Amino acid sequence: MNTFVQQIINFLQLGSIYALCALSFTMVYGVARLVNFAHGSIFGVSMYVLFFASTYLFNVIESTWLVYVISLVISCIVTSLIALLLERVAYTPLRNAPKVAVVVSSVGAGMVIEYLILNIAGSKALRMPSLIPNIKFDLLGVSVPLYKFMIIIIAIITMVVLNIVIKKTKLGIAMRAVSQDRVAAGFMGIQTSKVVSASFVFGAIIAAVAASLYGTAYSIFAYDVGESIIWWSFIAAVLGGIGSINGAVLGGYIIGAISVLAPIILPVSSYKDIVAFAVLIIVLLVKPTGLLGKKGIEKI
Amino acid sequence: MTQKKNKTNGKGTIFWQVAGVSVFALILVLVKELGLVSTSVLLILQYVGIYSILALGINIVNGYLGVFSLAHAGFMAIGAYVSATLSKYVFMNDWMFIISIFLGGIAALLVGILVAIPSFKTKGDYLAIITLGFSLIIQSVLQNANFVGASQGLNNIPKFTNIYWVFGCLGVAVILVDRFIHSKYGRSLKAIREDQTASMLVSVDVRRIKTIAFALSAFLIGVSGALISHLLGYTSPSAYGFTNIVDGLVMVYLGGMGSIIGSIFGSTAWQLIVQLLKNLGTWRWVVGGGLLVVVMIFLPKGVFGYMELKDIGHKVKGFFNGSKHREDQ
Amino acid sequence: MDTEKIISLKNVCMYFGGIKAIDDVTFDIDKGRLFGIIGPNGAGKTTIFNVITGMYIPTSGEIYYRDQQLNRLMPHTITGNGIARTFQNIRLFEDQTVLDNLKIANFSHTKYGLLDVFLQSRKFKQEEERIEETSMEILKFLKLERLANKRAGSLPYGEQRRVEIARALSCNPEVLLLDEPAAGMNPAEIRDLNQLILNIRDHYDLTIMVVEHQMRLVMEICEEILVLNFGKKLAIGQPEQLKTNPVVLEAYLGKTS
Repeated sequence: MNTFVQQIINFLQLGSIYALCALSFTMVYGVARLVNFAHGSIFGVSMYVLFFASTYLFNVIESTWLVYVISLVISCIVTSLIALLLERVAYTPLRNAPKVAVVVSSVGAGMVIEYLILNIAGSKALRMPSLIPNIKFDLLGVSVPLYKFMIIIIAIITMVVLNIVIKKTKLGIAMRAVSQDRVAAGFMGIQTSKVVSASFVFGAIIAAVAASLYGTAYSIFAYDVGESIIWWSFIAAVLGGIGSINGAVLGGYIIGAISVLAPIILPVSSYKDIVAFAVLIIVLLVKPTGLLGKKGIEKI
Repeated sequence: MTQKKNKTNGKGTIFWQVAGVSVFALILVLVKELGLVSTSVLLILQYVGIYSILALGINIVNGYLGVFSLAHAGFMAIGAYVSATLSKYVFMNDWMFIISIFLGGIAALLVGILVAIPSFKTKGDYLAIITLGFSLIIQSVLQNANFVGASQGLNNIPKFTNIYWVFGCLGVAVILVDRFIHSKYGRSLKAIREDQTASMLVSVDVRRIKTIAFALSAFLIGVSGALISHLLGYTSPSAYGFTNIVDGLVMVYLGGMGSIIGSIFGSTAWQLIVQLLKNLGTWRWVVGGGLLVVVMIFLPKGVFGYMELKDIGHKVKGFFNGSKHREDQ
Repeated sequence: MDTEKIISLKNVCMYFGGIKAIDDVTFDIDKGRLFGIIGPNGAGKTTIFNVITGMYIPTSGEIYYRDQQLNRLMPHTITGNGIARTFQNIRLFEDQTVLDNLKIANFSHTKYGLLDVFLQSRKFKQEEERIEETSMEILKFLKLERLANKRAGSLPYGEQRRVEIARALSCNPEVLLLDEPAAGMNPAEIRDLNQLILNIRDHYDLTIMVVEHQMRLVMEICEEILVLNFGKKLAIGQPEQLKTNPVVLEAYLGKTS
């Protein structure tokens, strides 16, 4: 029973992080239809900004919560600016180019950012200061640290807020329109380039939140922290269905579930990737447009 | 009239092919035997050759067929491991290397046929993820397979690879791909890339063509894996992960999709960039990445996108003869 | 001979969810006929082509090409067996040359294998020559030979339509399905097209099915016409008979009696 509760919490924690990452990835992916391989580096940037900001702030401010909030805001701003710069430099000039050109360009931009981090901050692994007070809770006889709850709660709040923004606000509606048909959205008077920029900012902000949770959960990180995150986000987003926000969340939690379950069921923990991919391949073979993706009927 | 012209053209090209190959062979002999270049340059040349074969293989599926596949790391690993195991335990003489190379390629080819199956129904990024999954599954399996050294990989692989093997294989690969592309198979690849439904409705057997494309692609990639493992003398699962996948894509898209010369150019350019910037230390990746962005902005189809040297020749000629042609019409 | 059936549909239905695109349609086409299908938008005309060419698997019913049932065959097999088509909104391989568009359509009856390609065997060269010749012949017949090396996508609309017909002919068909060949054409162009369709039929000894909005084209050249409305067969017969058929008039003119 104890381990069961523990595993459930582990699953929710990991799933929430994956879900947020997938969500941040899917913002740009869904709206601009761009596989942004530089997104992992954006994630890395927010980790480092958060690290430096919070390390500094702990010298000045005592309240952990306040440090967390302020450094998160700083990280959101810096990350958004870099994402916007990235869009201007590596994406906007290629708006009418073949899709793969944008993919390669984003790979290049990602390399630039990642190795800039390496050259500026060094290759040494860093330890994120704990951003959430170290308190333990008792849940069904299991002692659970507060940060695990907070990760789950913050992730869920972010998802709910994002859902409201996408569903109810003018910007959200414009985003969905651009996502469905960019040309038609342009004809309807939507400034598509601004909407795409907005999606980069959204993606960056969610990435910054996800990074703060990741840092809280795993604390140790290095310059290449975003690398595997980006692939798993891509996988989760596709598994859920390209452009589907709920799909990205679902995909994230499924990847989380597999990561937690596989080591329990399987003899060797490193088989986890194999299981995750096997599930993915089977799902896509049965449903070629992802779990919540819409199937387009081709008109002949 | 047109036909006669074609025939003479055909004979002409064969002459030039033979001439080109002999000159090239001569250069290779001079370079290797007379020690005209340093061993490190010789090594770079071998990398260039091997990665050109890899890029050619990737280009068949990603360029000519237009499918965004990320399966190449998996195929390369299979080619490397199968050939390395064979030449360690079975074909231990260096002239038998050809058998190991071939069987490494064949092993990758057989798996390639399986990987083609998802491409029948799935497409776009969904297929990209499936093929990525394939590559990472192969990597995971190798990491866990004790009989091939698990995460340590294989060591003491006989270093059979030399510049002759590399450029011999590259020559054969170029000829095979060139002939394949200029046949009904190659035409069908391009047709499927443009409009799969219309291809079916002009009698193209889309599934068969996709299977053949994946098989040939996997074969070439497998061969490149075989060559690289016998060049280094060791191979391990970590060599066939994300970095390898991205490297392969960069070479193909930098050089240009759907182009033989583009594949060779792309891998040469990328190897040179990586080697020349070595002095910059870790800054070289910043510069290299920046270069990629710049090239894509100015040449979004890659340097030779959907073009061969002769097309560029035609273009240049056309530019100078432009006015004359218009008068003819 | 003249009553040999080449295409037969027996109680064919095609449903998409709740929408009945084709509802219990039965008809036969004699060999060598010029057969028209007319009906208002959404009547299921193109869907008939799609079930015949294997793009859709009919919900129920049977489709025969001579004695061969087509229901479960793949589109490329059906096309290879002798049923070729054009598309309502042109679908050429735009980045390929006109000649290559035709060559691609030779796929199923090009008799060489991979080994022939890699070894550049005599068979490969002969077949490639043959394909080039027949493709040029077809282009000549449609007066398109001067466009052979032009990029298909660069041609004006009218010529693209003709190239599409040429490409369909390259499949070596016995039955040719034309999906709204006159769309966007003016009366003079339609007159030329009528003549072209008749010429093609006679020269290549084909059976031709035409889906069309343009009554003028259908009424002038078709020998037998199927009238569809909301997926149902309304009438079938010669143009003269249909002109006076009250059911057809009602569907088309909304006449109530």
